[in-house]
Amino acid sequence: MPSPIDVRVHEACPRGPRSGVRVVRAGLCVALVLLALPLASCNIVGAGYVLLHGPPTIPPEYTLDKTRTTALLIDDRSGVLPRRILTQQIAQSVESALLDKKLVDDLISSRATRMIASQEQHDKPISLQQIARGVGADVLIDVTIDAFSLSPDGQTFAPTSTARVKVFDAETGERLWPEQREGFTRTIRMPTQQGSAPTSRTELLEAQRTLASWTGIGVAQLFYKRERTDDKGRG
Amino acid sequence: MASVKRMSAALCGAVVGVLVLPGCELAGVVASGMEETGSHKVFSEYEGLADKTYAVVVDADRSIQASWPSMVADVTARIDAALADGTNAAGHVPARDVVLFLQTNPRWTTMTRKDLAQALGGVDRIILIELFEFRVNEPGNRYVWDGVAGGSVAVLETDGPFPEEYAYHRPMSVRFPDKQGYGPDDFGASLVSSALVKRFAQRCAWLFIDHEEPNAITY
Repeated sequence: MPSPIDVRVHEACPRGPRSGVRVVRAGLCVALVLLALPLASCNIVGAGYVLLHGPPTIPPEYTLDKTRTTALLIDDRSGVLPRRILTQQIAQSVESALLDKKLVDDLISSRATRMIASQEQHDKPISLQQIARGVGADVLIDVTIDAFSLSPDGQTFAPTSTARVKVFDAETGERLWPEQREGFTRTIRMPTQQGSAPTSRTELLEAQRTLASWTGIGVAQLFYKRERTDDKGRG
Repeated sequence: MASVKRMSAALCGAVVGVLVLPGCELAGVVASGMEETGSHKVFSEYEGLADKTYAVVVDADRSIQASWPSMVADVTARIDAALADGTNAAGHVPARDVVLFLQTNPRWTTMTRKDLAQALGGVDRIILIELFEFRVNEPGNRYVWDGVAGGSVAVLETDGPFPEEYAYHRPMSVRFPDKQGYGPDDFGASLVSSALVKRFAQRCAWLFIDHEEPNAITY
């Protein structure tokens, strides 16, 4: 006789507590999903924010009066620039940027201001107001170059320039911007890559030319809102 | 029946996808080929030669002139010819006359720019090409060609308010050959030097001329 199969009826789990566990688990799952969703979409949120809000920007230091005839003077009295042509290079960069951004309707070429400034004699100094009036400008942007170098120690390639910027009213001769007597100091540092140091005279001239262009753009940036990543220097 | 239709639609879609994908590559290859063989318009950087007279003056370092005696004349002639053809200048001093004047007046470098312009027939513009570097191989390595012609291009507006100052200035450098590893067994030094002269002169002249520039240009 085969042994009888031990058949037992297992007592079913009470329905109440088991159902509670499931509810808790489901709740946990939902909570996890809810938590994970924003985490995974962080990059999307960031990109969306940039798209809607735009990248971080730097406001202009001074806003030029668009309707007034403006002239530019690049002043290198202390002979900081290694070559005279760099004055012109800086001026061209400033002028191009001001016109491209439509910051002024009428801009007088810096060659005109330079021509008047060149008539200065040691016993007959010419004031900025005279220069501005001489070219028929209402406003004069005076840029003094204080430093311009490709290397701080003769070894490291780190092109840097410093310019002081002032804006004058040609009619009254009063300073429009900034309040500081010495002007607004702007330092431009050109980014460099490893191995980009000039090794020949031609490369040296090219590096000076590029730094001059950067200096001009850096000066012009004081007058318009720019993206933080495009900023050429620190004021 | 509906599922059969869906299946056939999906199949059609797949076939179209398979057909289109290689087509994309083909379009890319065609576009890339067109880009490489095509050209683009480049405008002149200096526009002050219109209705003006000019002379091209090439000033090369003494050591360069000693090593390459005909180079100054060659560069002068090439640039002068290109500018005479490509610009709306009112007139120019022929290259041979300029070279002859410079050779017979070695003190020209000490003259004021205005006096130099007067001596060259009273031209309105002097296009001054300075060559500071001209070599066909790396210094000390005569087995591998690595040619460089480097200098600057400047314009003196002798009829303007600043006749002694550059109205335009730009460094200029070209190289030949384009790839490393060529030596005297492949071609001679004269080929390297003539290629450098041609490239340098062309690049200098292009600064004054609106021109079509090949996309695949390597210098």
